[in-house]
Amino acid sequence: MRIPPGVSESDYTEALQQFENVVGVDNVYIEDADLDLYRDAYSILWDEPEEPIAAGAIAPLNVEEVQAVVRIANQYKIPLYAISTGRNLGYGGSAPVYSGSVILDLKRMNRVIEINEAEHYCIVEPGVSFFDLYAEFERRNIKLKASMPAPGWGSPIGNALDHGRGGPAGDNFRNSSGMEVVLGDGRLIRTGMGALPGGKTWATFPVGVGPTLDGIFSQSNFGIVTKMGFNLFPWPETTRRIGIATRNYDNLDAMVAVCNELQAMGVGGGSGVFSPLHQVLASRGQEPRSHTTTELNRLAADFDTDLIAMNLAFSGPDKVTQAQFEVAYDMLAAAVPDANLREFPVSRAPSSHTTATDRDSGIIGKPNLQRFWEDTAQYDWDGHMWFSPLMPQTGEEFRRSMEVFGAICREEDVFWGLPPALLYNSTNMGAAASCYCIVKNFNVSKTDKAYNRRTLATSKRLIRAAAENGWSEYRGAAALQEEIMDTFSFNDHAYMRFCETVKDAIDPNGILSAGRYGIWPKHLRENEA
Amino acid sequence: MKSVYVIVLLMSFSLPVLAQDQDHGQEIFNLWCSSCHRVVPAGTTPVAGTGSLERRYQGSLPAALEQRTDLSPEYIRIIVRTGIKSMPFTRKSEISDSDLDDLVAYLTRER
Repeated sequence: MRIPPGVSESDYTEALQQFENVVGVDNVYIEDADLDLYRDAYSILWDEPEEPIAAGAIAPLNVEEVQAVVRIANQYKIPLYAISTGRNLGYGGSAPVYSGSVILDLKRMNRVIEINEAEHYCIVEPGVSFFDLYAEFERRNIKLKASMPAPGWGSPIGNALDHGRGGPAGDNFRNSSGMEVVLGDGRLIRTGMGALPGGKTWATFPVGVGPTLDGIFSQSNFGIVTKMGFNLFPWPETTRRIGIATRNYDNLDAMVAVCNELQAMGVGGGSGVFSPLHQVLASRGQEPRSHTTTELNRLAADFDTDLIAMNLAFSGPDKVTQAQFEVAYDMLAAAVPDANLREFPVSRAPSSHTTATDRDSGIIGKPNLQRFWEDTAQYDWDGHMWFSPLMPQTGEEFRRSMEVFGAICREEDVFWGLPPALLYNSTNMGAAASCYCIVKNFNVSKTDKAYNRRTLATSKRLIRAAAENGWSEYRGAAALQEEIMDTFSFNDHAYMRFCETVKDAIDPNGILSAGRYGIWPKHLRENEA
Repeated sequence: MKSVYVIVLLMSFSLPVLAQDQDHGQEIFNLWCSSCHRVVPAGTTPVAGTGSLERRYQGSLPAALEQRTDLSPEYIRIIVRTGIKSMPFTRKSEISDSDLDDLVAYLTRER
């Protein structure tokens, strides 16, 4: 039997008995074969001595069971690590950060509490996946969609708490409203209008009165979120898309500037940048000799492919998207006359779920796992790890980032290429400010530890280089969260000191998700040991 | 190489499966497996599982799991619980042992 650190075998045995009394013997896991399922399948530390492993796992069915488990864990000082669907592979999956933690697996808490068609919201539990939510829409023939990230098996709550991106909302945390949270001592609170008994605007008015606390439960270990409200979106009547591509790197600045103008005017469309040349380079593992305009233009010409492309999309009522399309098309044609402009066929939403086909998946928000082919399986990789720094949404910053990161990866012999930069916030929410998020996936191997170590070391260099340029990742692999947080060092790491003050106050025994995003409880902080 | 032999052996000796709920097994397949292992029409973008198996088998076996008739219960159980390549393992809070029995019954049903 694996024993959590700092806990005696007799105490752990007693606690396990009490956990079983709460959730049932079938929902407490202590056998190695079962606990091996609580690893991050895409961990960059796979099979390394530093790979965090679970000492146990408990799968409660409801909030009362979560509270009871937390109280028992407090009594015996047992470290817990909460997961929702545990499918954010590479970002931690179902594994703890602090090795030897007992996983609080919330997958069985999979109730869709409410879907409100008229007011466009839902309230869900953490074990609900995007697949589950869509199935409920389909079962009730509700023509709404959630803001969908790439992996459909993810949890709306888990994704939002990790600041995952989705379409159409962008930052899914900003698309949420109202939480129910179990604190470190087992107390239950609700935030926003959820704190009002019988409150009817839990999922539509996110701030309530007094301090808005929701943010402290994202990317942290201050509580266990057991319910959360989210905005939903009606199926758009149509989606119109413009493609613009160029073989001249010098065109990038004008392309991005027009898209920013469209965004600021409320026309929208998005301005994510991707590179068809990158796909060619990635398939060959061929790194550019430099990221200068001369070198990249030469490669695009040599491989007879576009260097930079952008796809703008306009979703909504037919007459509105037609007008948006015309405005955007004219502005792009005027600003970048030598680029290739393309009009894609118009997508129209089906009349109902029963008439929807695979072709309609995007417009109706049907979840999938397509990215696992595109980002991983097609390269025959064992897994992937993301590097996703945020930076200002300008052509100049994109070009600068490619030079900085490309040079490091050339030195480390790790492929960089010319990865895409997507908008972090919404592409179609009018004038919402946004920034670029580089989306770079690194191969993770289950057998080549030397490669993984090189990738990890390279990632740490990239994180430092990003910080020196005023950029930073918005989230990171579990193995790198502390590294990223360490770059947020203004005024001698005052931000982290404040997080530690909060941690010590609301989780005095330090039992919740130790180490998540570099936040350690007092008894585990090296500088106070 | 040893693991390859084990997998081949497991695939070769299909054991009869006791009566399980094949319909429920199909529901489990649709919820947990089909996103990556469904039949993909020619000319469309592959999905992770079917695309990977198509590359591995090169036409010697069907790439879509529901078209296979050679899968053994033991092989299915091992892959679901250990994963393979970029396919992750699945926890018991997601697919219980009972669910897995039904999934096995569905994928090994007589056709």
